[in-house]
Amino acid sequence: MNSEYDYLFKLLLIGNSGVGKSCLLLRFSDDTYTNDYISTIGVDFKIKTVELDGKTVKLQIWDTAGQERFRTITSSYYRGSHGIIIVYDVTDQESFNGVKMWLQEIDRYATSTVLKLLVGNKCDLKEKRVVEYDVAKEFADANKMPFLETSALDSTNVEEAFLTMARQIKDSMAQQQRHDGNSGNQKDDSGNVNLKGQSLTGSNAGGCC
Amino acid sequence: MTEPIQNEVNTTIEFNTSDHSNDDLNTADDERNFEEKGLNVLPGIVEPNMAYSLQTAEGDLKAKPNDPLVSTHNDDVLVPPLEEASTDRSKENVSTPLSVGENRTASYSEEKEDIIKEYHSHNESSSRGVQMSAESGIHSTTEPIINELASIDEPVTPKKLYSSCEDGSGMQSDQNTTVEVHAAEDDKRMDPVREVTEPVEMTTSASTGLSNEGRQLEEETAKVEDAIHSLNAPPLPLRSHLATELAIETPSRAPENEIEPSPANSQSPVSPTLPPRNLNKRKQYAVPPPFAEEMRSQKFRQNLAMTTGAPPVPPRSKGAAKANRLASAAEINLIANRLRQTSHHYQREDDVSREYLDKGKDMLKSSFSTFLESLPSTPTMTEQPFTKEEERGHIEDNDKHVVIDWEFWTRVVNDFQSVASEPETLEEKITDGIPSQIRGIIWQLVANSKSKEFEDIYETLSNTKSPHEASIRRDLRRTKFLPEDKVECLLRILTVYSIYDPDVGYTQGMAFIATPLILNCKTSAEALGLLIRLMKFYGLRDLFLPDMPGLMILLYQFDRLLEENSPQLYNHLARQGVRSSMYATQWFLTFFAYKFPLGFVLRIFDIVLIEGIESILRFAVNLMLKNSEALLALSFDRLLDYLKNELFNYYLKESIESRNHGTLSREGMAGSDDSDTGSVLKREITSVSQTQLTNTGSIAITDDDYDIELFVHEAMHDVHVTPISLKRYAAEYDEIHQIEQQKEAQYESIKIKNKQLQMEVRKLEHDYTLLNKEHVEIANELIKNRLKIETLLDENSDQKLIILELKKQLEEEMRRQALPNPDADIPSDIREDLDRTIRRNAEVMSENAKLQDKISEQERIISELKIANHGESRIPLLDSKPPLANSWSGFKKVFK
Repeated sequence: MNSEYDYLFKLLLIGNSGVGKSCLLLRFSDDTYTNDYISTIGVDFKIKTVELDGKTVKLQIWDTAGQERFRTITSSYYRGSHGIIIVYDVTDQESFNGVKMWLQEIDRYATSTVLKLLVGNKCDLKEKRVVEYDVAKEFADANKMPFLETSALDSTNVEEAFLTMARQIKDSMAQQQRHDGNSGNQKDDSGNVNLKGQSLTGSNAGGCC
Repeated sequence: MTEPIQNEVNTTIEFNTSDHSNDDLNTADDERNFEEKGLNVLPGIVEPNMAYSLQTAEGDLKAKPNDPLVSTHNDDVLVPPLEEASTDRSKENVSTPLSVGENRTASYSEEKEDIIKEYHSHNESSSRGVQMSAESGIHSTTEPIINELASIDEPVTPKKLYSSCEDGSGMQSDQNTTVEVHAAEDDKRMDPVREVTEPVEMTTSASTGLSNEGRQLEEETAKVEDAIHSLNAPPLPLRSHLATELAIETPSRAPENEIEPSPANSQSPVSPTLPPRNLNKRKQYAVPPPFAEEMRSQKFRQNLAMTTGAPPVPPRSKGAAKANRLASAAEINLIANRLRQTSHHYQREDDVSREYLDKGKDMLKSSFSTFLESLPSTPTMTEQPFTKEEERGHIEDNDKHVVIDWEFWTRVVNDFQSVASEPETLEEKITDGIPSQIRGIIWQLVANSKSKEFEDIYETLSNTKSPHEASIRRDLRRTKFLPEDKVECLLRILTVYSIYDPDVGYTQGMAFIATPLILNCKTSAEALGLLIRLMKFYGLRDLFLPDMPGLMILLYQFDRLLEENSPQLYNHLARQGVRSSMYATQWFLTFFAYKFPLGFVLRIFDIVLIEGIESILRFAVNLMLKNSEALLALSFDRLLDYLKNELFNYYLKESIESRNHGTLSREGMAGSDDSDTGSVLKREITSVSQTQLTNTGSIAITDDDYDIELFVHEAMHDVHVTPISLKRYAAEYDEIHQIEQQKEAQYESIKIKNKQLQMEVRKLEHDYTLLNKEHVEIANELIKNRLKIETLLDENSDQKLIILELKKQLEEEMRRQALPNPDADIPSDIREDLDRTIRRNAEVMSENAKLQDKISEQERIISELKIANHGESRIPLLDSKPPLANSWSGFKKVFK
């Protein structure tokens, strides 16, 4: 089983109801599109295996119901995720405003090392667009996450979005491994850089005395 | 002794016939009839009918105590655990006849014996799993009973069993037959007539010569009784409430022959219908089977229902008795539970809305009767050409030519309460499905939802804006089964509901629930009424509240039921990391409408409306069980896919056929399923709204391709769900949930604390670096200082050397100074000299003053001379100088 792939990444799709999470996933996993996709109740799930720098990466993608009250069910999927894709609808300002809320949800339920990606879907609907690229890009930069505009309808950037996410995870994993190789006792925490720096100066000072 | 028994038999027979004439108690006007019925109700949880066989036993006992078989009996029967196992039941059984017996004037001690015998015979029958075919117990007419009786050639069974208990001796050739006969008897207890008729024969034939055995038996009875009493503690805590209830009754029976007939007990409850039992399915247990296991047996549940709540002094009135029975049945029967809740809610309504409801009911009834009249060949009430068997055969043969039992549905329409008081019949009927023509009417009647109240709500709120309207609109096109012309209607209903119940508002999934309602109601207001009823009275609302508490409980109940029904499958899923929330959420939130064909969904709605939303668990668990073979072979990835999309393929007619023929291997089937399922959903959409993408080349799968009947029947018959166990699960969930919440809260607080600590750590780290810097600086300074000290020390030593040198110099100097000074007396000489000089000076000065006086004297003389010698004046002046010079020279001389 395990020999089928080199990496297994768990991804999570979140975002307001109706922004096109399921369509995005359907486009990515089956390369199809339907206008009449029924609303997701609870969670859905797809698997797709991709090649990334010569490695086989299996993506286990969880699609969630967008309605906030499904949080009781969806929140438990945050914790195990390696990457979380926040989707909004470029034709729906409210869905973009919701991104902030979703970030809070991530903060609350996911591990602190989880990688994020902001995706503005439905970019094919040019005349209906209300969220400008620059605004979203700025927001994404401020929150230190990559940003892409996609269209599940004409499959613009769909693959790229998932691959970006996968690559990000892979890189951070490699980094993590190197990190772990170098200094074994580091915690899996954002504070570890600091700690390391401290411990170095600390030993210097100690040597001094 | 024979007399009362004879009497008994007669009444029972009467009872039996009336039993099947639907509660028509008045036909059996004999008071005793009531008693018999009461007997039937009151007895033990497990075998309410046992009392009848007790009578039988009595006869037997008296008849042939010396039968060769008496001492020869199977010791299987007596394996100690078995005895223990059945104690629990027997205790209950034993207590029962008492209450009945009290009002009977017949001799009591005989009954005693019977009870004991019954106890043993029950041991026997319950421990032997499969004895007789259950079918034999089903027939209700007297004819089969007589046949049955004819087949029983060994009437002494109870006695044999009894004695076997006493001596536990070996087996005999006859024994097998005995057991069988007894089993048959046990079987027939459902149908008391047979049993009771039997003893009549026995007694009449045997009572003559055997009466002297009575005393001995009584003694034995007492012993066994004691044994029974000693085995009071129920093995399962769950039943403890039953046990205590029984324990109260039991002691009163203990003193033999002393019990006074109690007039209070003369009114016994109305007899419940006695369902056929299915002995074939019973398992053999060495200990009492787990409660859940027992609950699975229909018989057990019914008995439990009748016993648990049976009042010691049941009211005489039919209605009240029924209410009581309902209350108790509600514990174990979903229909009864649902009915109770509906009527409970009805009671709580105020008069106005009750009036509205009654009016609504009448309207539904009238629309039903107009519908009935419109039927081309409506069978009249008198015309009932089909027996039940025939009728069902028709239904199973072909859905389209179902012969609908209009008479039954008319009764449902006219008095649902009374129909529902026979849950088995109703369950059977709804399992076959509510006729689609009257589905909406029945739904509304059952849910008690037709009311002007809802029409008013609909009217007043349908023009109000709802904050949820945008989300509802968004989901309208994302809902199944909805024809174009009903979209607006769905929007209205959901919007109105979201205003009507702001706590719920709108939750995705509600559209799936509302759609079948719309499809089966004439007006939007009716559909809204049903929706509101479902939400509020059926508890559906809990599933859609923001935190979805109801859903969580349902999921937990589902897990537990699955675990109970197939631990293997449950474990497999757990090991694979598949949680029920991953796939079952959408089943419960949409009543399977999410991925299931409409035909399934409507039938599920039928059941749900009559049994309550808990019955959804039946379908869920059944689907899992039926697919368990396939599921067990899958691992996580495929598993979830299968669970979401392929479960109902089990009921594709093709796959059923292939299963039946065994031609297709499991793998092959899974493969074919694969290709089907992807498109099932889409096909569903196409077939309903007819606007969607067509799947190239594939023949659309419609409801007809599924064996819906099988689906519903299997779900209803194979999975048993009782309110009492669900309640237990819900309680368990609450506990777990509370613990989880506490943990969650703890986790949250720890998280916050952690953040604070992290901040602190960072601050401390910062401080630490500062201190470190400072420390380094200090250390450097220290080193510098040390160096300085070194140099200073050097300097110091240098200085010391210098000091030493200087000291030496000084010492030398001192030494040198210490030597005598040659010039030492000089100064004193000088001072003396000076003094002398000063003194001389003073002398000289005074001498000088004298001389000056002399000079001035002489100058005056000279001037006098000058005046005298006028011409010669200058010369005297010049001459006067030398005297002065002389004087100074004289002064100088003095100083020398």
